[in-house]
Amino acid sequence: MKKFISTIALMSMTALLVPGPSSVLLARHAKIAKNIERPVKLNNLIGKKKLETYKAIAVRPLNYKEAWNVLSNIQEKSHESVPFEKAEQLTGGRYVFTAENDHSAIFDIDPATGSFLLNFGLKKYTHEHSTLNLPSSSQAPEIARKRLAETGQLPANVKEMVVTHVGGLDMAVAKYEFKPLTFKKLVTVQFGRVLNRLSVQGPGSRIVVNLGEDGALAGLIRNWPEVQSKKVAKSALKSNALIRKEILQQLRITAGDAKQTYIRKATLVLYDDGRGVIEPAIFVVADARYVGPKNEPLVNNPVDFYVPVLKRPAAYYPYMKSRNANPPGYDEHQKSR
Amino acid sequence: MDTKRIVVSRRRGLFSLLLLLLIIGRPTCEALAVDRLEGGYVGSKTEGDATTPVWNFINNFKYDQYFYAEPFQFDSYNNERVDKMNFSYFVGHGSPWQIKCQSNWVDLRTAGATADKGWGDTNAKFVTLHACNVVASPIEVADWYSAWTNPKGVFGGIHQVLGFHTYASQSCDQDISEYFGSRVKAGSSVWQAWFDAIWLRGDGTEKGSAVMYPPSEGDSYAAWSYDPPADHTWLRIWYQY
Repeated sequence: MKKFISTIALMSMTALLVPGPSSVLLARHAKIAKNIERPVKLNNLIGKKKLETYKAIAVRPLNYKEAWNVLSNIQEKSHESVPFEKAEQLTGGRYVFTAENDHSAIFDIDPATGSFLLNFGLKKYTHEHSTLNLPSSSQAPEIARKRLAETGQLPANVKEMVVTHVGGLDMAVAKYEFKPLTFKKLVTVQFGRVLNRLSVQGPGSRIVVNLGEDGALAGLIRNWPEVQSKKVAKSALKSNALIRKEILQQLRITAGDAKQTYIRKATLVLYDDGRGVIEPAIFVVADARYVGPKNEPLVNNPVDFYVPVLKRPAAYYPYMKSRNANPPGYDEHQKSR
Repeated sequence: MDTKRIVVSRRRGLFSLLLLLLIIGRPTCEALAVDRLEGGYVGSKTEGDATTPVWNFINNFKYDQYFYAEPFQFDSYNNERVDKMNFSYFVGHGSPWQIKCQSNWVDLRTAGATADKGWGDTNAKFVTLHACNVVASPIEVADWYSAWTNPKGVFGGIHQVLGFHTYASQSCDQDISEYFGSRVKAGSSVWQAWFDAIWLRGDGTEKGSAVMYPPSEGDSYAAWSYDPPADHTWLRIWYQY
């Protein structure tokens, strides 16, 4: 019994020390205990904070010409002249403008909200050399803000906008017997939103700026509706006990056959469903360790999910989307083998 | 001209005007959809929801295969499954060069060792492995390439393989595949649309990666380059970080 307890303790401590989400737990000789859940700090998830919900302020839908004007204005202000000569309207209403000579160049805008994705095209970055004068990661956020200001794409309330990540896009090549080479192509600055001192997550409320040669704008994603807030009455909130129960239920569904699960994080955030609703939710990240391939007995594939804290949530959460999918079939070849 | 004729004449005039407005006032056209041979493979029935992200991709097309994933679809029977499709989309768990199917894991470093060889010697052009860590980048490992192009690897004429070199968020995967599918169908360049989808719909921490035969770098689902030779060792990787 003592040996069993010490094995579990050793495995738990190892799990705490595992640095990243991509880690693989090598527990070749350890006995695998099934479904060890270590829910941590699930006692007071909401705290005493006065919560708010947010609704996107409706905007007048853009027509084709107005959508084109948004693109033209950004091109003009950023001194770009990509020939977006082809226009389509996709199912669902998005206007998509593309270039014939580079199919990675695109302006994709939702006319109902004005949210868009703009990529000036990656064809010119395919050469085997790094992009000249890329901004450093310390310079990039300021340059990105400057590009947003120049193109008129800064949010109305810039205090809501925070840098969440500075990264980029690289390319590497391995050719026959030559030494592989790596090239730096773009620098990416991601902005997120903070409302009422809570970070906003989900598909909405983001700005992504890609910077290329000399810090020029190479691409821009802007999904940032202006919002109106509304106070949430305490009576509209779930109890901590109910939230805790739902977290554990959701973890069992999401982690499925995991041999071990460990809740790494359960944080109060705001969830933006990308459809105009932002509301408080608990964001959960848990390690889930599965029986792995032969050389890796346990593989950690972290899982994440949201649990609404409102009794009657208005947002469209990822788990709700699961209801619309048709199930796949079983492969008949399996029976004939 | 009596009153009845005037009314009819006005109606005709109004109808013509409306028709004219409809023609000149609609500068955009419906998307020129690309639809070829698509397959969807769901890595797990019981570990989270791998079904919706696969469905959200293939539902953009009149898809041809839609199965719970089994190893033989990727190795010993791939000529009738993944390699029979032009575009395959897998969602499930993963680790570097390995994917988890219903019954077992597939090691992509050796999946091309059967009589059916790798992918692309029959029909496959693009495969997306929507799973954690499968397409390892130079950030994780210096030799990111030989697992794909070694004689037992899966690069046997395939143009591009897409995935993640980091963890892939389950809260975002339905949205990523939905947007990516719409772009592939609309004829966008493939790996570039994959990265756009991750920047647009990902959680900000998951990072895409794509390995490819360099001359197929500009391929779209509407127009792709000549098939690579089955035994090439020339590979390029693009990766977000």
